[in-house]
Amino acid sequence: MLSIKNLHAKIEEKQILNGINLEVKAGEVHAIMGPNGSGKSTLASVLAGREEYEVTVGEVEFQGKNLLEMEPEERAREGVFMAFQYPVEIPGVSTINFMKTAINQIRTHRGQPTLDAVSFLQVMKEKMKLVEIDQSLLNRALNEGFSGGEKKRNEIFQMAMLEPRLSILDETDSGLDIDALRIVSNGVNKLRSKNNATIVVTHYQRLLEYIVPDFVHVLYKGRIVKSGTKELALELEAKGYDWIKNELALA
Amino acid sequence: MLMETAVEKRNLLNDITTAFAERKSAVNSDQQTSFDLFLEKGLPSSKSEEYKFAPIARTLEKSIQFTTSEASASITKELSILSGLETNLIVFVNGRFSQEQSRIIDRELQLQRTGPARMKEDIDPFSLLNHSFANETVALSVEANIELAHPVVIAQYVDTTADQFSNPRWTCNIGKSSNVAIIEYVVANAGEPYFANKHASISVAENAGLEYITLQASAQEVSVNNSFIHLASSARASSFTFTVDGQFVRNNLHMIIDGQGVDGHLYGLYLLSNQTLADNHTVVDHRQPNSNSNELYKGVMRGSSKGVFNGKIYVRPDAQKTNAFQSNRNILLSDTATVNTKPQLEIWADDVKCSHGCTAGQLDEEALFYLRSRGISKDMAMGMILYAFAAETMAAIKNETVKTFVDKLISGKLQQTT
Repeated sequence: MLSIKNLHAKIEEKQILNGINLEVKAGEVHAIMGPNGSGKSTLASVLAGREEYEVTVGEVEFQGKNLLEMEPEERAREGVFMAFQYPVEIPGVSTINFMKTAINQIRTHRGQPTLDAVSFLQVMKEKMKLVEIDQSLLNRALNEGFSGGEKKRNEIFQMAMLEPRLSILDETDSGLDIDALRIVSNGVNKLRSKNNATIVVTHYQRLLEYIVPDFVHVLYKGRIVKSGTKELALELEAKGYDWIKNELALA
Repeated sequence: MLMETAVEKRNLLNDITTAFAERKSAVNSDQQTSFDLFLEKGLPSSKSEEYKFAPIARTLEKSIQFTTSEASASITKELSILSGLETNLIVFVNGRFSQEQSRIIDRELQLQRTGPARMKEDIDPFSLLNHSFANETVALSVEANIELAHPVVIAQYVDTTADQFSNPRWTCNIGKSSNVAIIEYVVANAGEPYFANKHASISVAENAGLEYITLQASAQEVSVNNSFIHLASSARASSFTFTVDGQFVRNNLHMIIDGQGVDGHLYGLYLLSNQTLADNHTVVDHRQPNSNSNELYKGVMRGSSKGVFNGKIYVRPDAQKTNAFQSNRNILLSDTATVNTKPQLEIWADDVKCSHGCTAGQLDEEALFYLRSRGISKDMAMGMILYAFAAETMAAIKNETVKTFVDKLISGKLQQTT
């Protein structure tokens, strides 16, 4: 589904990604771990199409198409979804209107009929249950005055609504208490299927107890330096990132 | 050897003086006094503090003839632009009241035509100019305890094939505990720019209410709009000024709080493009204690447009326990658009709550990316963010039909991408 080859990227004049290679197939969950500053969030941002990052070398193919040539909205319509580390507060834009506009733009792109108000509300109610989000929250302006946990839940709600093929969770666990973490993870797990894939970007192993990955990759200085199965995450937790750094220094 | 310039500079004051002299037989002594005062002051230059960012003389010089030929204009456009809304309609054709075009449907609304009397508030040079050239004062009034059923539309019709210069002058007295809504706009049949120089004065008596909406959406407009709202004890007033087009629009809006327990709101929105200049000068004058005022002006500028905001708040020595708030926020969408914003608070009382804030920035890129990352196109995402920004200035409009009209005006303007 997603094929990243030799990806290099920089922001302003700072080189951050130095040759990432990654293959993600439908049905798989990949965890990207790594110390602060290793390039985890940059990778997520480049995939979502953030314009301030410049890809200098490499390619990214998504379902056979060149992802890097697409505008952010095209990526979303093709089925890429990024759950933001810091969801943006947009005063005056109602969550429901925003979601209705988004879902209908995506449906139009996919050749599906747009949803009228009634069927939209039906879909919404169903997905709300999935992520245990309250309607009163969705009646408010987008993320305005939401708590950290509410914002993250809203991200997963949007993910449920838009039914992406590839979901990228950018440090979704940051700032969540244990209850919110469980709710958010439950939502993600319920949305997993053999047709879609998930990339979980995280600093800590904790989230991976809830969202169990098929593969774990360790990112360091803009490269994947170690890949393995979920046991790798446990090993990292036990030994810390210095273990990787030392191992690399010795090599 | 020095080269002599061949181009002779147009002398505006001479042109205006000639035009005034031609009307001499129709002018009363009060008007002569106003004109003398106007000449004394002259047209404000860029050195004038009040018109620093609004080069009005240059604009007039370039495009306006000051003839008042009084040729009859032909009405070729619909004057009621608020479709589906029944209103009283007061029409000025090229600045002169037109009985024929006007229509009063609420019998409680009274109209008197009087010789143009000079008012204390005729201080600004353009107020003086308006008074000098006005044919009459149209005095509207509503007695006490009246809920006026329909809004009062005050429409200026401009036909530039007749005249480019017009000076409508009207007043409105709202009696005790009465409520009136006024909507003001210009309908122009304009191949040429025109100079609409308006003076309006509204008095709101004890416990009465006013909703005052100004729509400015005419491409060829050069205008100065002097508007005064006088509020007595427990009066409530909300003014809304929407500017979406024009060449040069200057609004001098004064809210004079001359009673206790007053609640005054001033909302403004300027959505500018091309070369439009919109300058909002507001004055909120707290003269009595225990009143509240709240001002919110917002602007979005594209192209080479210019926005100017100057908000004065006076809290006089007697006006203790005043709450006065002001906010001006601007979004610049191009490198060549500019905004000048200046809050000016002068507070003589010591037990008051006052605040002001102004911002000028670009569109929030992070918000834009967030919406796009959900599949919403860039233009639509921009539209959503700008609309959300703008909508706050019209939220308080009470009449739903008017609100829908304003909503369309704003949405339409925001959909333009140049």
